[in-house]
Amino acid sequence: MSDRPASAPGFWRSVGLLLGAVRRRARGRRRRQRELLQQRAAGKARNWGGLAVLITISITTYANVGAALLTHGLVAAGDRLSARLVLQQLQLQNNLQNQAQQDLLPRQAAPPLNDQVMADDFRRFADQIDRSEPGAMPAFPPVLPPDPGFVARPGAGLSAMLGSLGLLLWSVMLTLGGEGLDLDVQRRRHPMWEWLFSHPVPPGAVFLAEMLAPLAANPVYYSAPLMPGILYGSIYGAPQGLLAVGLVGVPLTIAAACLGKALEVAVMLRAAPRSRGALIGIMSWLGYASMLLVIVSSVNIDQAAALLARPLAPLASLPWPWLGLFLGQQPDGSFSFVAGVLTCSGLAALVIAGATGLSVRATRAGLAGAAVALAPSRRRLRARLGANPLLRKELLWFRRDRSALVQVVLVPLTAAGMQLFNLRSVLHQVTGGWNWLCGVGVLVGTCFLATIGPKSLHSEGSALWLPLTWPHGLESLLRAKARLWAWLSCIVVGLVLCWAAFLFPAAVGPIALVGLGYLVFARSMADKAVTLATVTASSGEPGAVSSNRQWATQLGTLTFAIGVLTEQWQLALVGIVYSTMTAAAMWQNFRARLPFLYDPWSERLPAPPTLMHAMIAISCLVEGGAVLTGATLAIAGRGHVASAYLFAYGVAAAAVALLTARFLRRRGVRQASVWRWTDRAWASPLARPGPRQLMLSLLAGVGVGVALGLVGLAYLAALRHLPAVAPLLRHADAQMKLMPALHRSLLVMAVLIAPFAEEFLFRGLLYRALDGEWGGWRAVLGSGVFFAMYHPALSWLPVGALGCANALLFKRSGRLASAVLSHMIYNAIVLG
Amino acid sequence: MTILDQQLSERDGGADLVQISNVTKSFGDKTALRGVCLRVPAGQVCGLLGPNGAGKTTLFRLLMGILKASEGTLRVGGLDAFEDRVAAKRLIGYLPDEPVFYSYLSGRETLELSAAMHGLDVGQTMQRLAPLLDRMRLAAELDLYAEDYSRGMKKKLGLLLALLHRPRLLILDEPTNGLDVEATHLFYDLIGELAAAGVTVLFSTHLMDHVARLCSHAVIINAGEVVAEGSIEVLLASHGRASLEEVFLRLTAPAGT
Repeated sequence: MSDRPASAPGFWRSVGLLLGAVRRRARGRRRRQRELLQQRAAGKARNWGGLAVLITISITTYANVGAALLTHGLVAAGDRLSARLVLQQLQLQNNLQNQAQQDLLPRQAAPPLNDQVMADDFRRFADQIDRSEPGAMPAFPPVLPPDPGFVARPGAGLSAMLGSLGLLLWSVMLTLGGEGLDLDVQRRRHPMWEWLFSHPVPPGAVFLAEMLAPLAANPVYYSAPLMPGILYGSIYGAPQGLLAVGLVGVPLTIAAACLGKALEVAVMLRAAPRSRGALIGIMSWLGYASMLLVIVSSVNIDQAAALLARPLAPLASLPWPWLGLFLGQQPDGSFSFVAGVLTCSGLAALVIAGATGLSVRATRAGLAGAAVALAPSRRRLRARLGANPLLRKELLWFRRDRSALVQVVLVPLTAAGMQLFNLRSVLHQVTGGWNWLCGVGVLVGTCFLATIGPKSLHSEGSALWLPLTWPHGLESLLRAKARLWAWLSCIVVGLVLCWAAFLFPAAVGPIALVGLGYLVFARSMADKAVTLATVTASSGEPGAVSSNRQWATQLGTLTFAIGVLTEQWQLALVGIVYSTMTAAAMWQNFRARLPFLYDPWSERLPAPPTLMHAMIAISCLVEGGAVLTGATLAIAGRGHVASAYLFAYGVAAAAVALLTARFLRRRGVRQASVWRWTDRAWASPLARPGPRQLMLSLLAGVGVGVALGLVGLAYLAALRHLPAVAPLLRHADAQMKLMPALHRSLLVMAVLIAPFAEEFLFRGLLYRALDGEWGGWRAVLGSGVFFAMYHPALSWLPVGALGCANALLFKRSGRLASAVLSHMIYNAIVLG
Repeated sequence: MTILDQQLSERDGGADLVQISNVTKSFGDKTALRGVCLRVPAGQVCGLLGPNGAGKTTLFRLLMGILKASEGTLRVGGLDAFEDRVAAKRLIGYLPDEPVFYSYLSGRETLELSAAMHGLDVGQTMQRLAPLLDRMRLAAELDLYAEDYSRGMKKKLGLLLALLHRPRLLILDEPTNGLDVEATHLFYDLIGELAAAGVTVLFSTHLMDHVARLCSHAVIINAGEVVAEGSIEVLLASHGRASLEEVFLRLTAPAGT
């Protein structure tokens, strides 16, 4: 560092240097994430980052193009709405005239034909606007010829107002887009300016570079120039539209980024430290929400126009020249391309200069300012940190830090609202029944959790060192957060359910059951979602979340929601159980990763076989079996149901067992260590090696199999006396008798194939992994319930009992063989 | 000084409390520590010296179980610093270079939270800390938000947090960095009293005269390697220098100068 430059860099050179640093930082961040991914997966990972960038760019492009369509559409809709007002007056006149006619019938002629045609035309548009189904909406371009409506509007009236509002929405979206939500929330505490100003650089250059930084970081700015381009193109033609992209769009985009940054600077310098986060959070949220609003309303333009026009109609008489000025409209109503370009680029230059100047001035007034020491309220909080001190800490955060509201409520609810929009076809039928409303409530709650979970550690910031000094600190912290998130989502869903109960008082019972189910489901969903938590690097950059894990958090959600939507209780229950099991599997993996949160270079995948391995193998068996059965039936024809079933399940079971064994062998797990269980505390003399112990273990298996088989038979016999299910069972029996081959093949499969594959997967892999995660009776019951779930709902009870008994048998005898034997005998007795 | 009395009773004789053998730590292709071996007996005050970026903080984070050694083992009281990190954290008190606190908790609430998370009785712990709070002149400020504390007050609060569970090993990362003269003296008095009560103290600093005054031992790290270790007298004698500063400059000078 001895060679010092002869003179300090000039203004533009400083801007260039700083922007170069921003670009390098973004590039370095991407490279580091790629390297870490490769390191973790030992070089076998595939990089989907490019695809994610592509999707982000498509969405933001859609938002910008949508803003143009929205503005255009709002003007047209404004025209039609004004026309309707005219029409209403016309109708009023007509009515009066008709009245007059009736009064003075013989003396008055009929109204002229011309008026009648025009009135019909208006009525048609008015009807289209009034209809609420999106399919019936007039398509873009609107039915009225757009040019006269769009072009010849003077600077007042409904259409000018609506068009200006569309323009405003786009400006807010761009201005408050910032550098992306994650980055901004962190950056509020780490302004680099103080450091930068210790260098001999012009403050204006620092701020200009800072203001241009969002352009490099947020893809919403890449496509922003398209918006003016499209609007200009619709007036002046395509060549001028293209020109406008460069001459109007680019300067305005830069100006919007600058203005947003200037607002951020103002907040940083003028607001108290505790309010900064909240203010910047609300600003970012406004930007994000207006982007969503643009996307949503650009496909529902007429509804948006109708919604806006009703309350804002009185304001339409004010002058609304903004859209006209933006497009270069002259006072006489004609349009001039040059005037438009000059107005917009002049405005952009003014905003950029003004924003830079404002920032510089604010800096001169005192960068460090506003560090006001805030005393907490005199009413001192008698902190009784009892059962869960961390939960209390989170509640205090929620109460005192105003940015909590943005992070915990506004952002997740916006995301949930977005999901609702995606599901709008479902929403149209919400009022059709209580179950639709409940299903939508469940989806909103889930989406809320999926948004909030990955951000769990953001509010910790640099204070995260403190939990690291506590025993189990980080884990307890995340568990506490998961509980808080689960509560919050239960409140959200509870509100929806209360509404449902209000609308459908007769269905209070089932709605309460859904609520009860959601209480359990929310805990598992929150547990899953916090495993996506990342820490933010000291530079303020958030860590990346793998998309595989993001998908895994969603497991069970749809099953639960569809179960509620279609009133299939067993399906809803399956969803809850599946979600709970996934939560356990994800936490097992997460616990292995957790110590490496600050040391990603040392991170390795947890030792196999994990719960997740077992779940994936089981899913492969079930899904693979179903697909193979379908394929075999398609090839062999429906006449061969029996052999197809046998063949498909046999092949799937063999393939999954062999592939799983191969997968485990390649990761250093020998088969013997799956089939024998020697490393456990729940020892029994049976588990020792030796022929006598082996014989006794197998005998125990036979005993359990015979006993449970008899219980199963008794259960079936009891079912035959239940009026609700007896006809169903009789029908199944009759079907079986008609097809003896099916019965034989089922028996072969259930006795000779299934026990091996299922015991290997459900007991050898799943139960043992679950025992390490939950331990004791919870693991036994959990694995039994999970096993039962893969069988028809009628047989859940005896099959669940078999699952629990076999888990115990495996653990006590230390031999999977005894569980296999018990399973074979049970199946033989019940099906034989 | 109830806190110190209790620590005195936990004193155990002889064995090395901290055993670091052959530790290497790399981040990607960058190596921060290389083959570090170090033993600190119980009750010793050991100063860790080294230029910026030598790997002092990395070594502390390895001892805290926040990082995992690429090679070699670290043991605290016989426990592996990474594998047994949960148990080891009960033995260790840690003060980072620049402690940051939750912006929405007061100093008292932070202390109470930390006590609860160590499984201690909150009321008793606060009572036990009361004399120390008075000595640090922190009692009056305890109900302000910890985030608004001055740098020195943050360090004091950090030291209290490190002490409240009566650790056997105290790891202090540049404890007096940014403190005024009075507070610096207070810190060193406390370190001396803790050591007398049998607490092992491992601290890093850039102030040689303080090391010479406080420590029986010093370790000098340069570029991730231990370049000198031993009691102060031995260090001075073996390098033939009059002051620790000279030894330090000689050992950490870049090659070729």
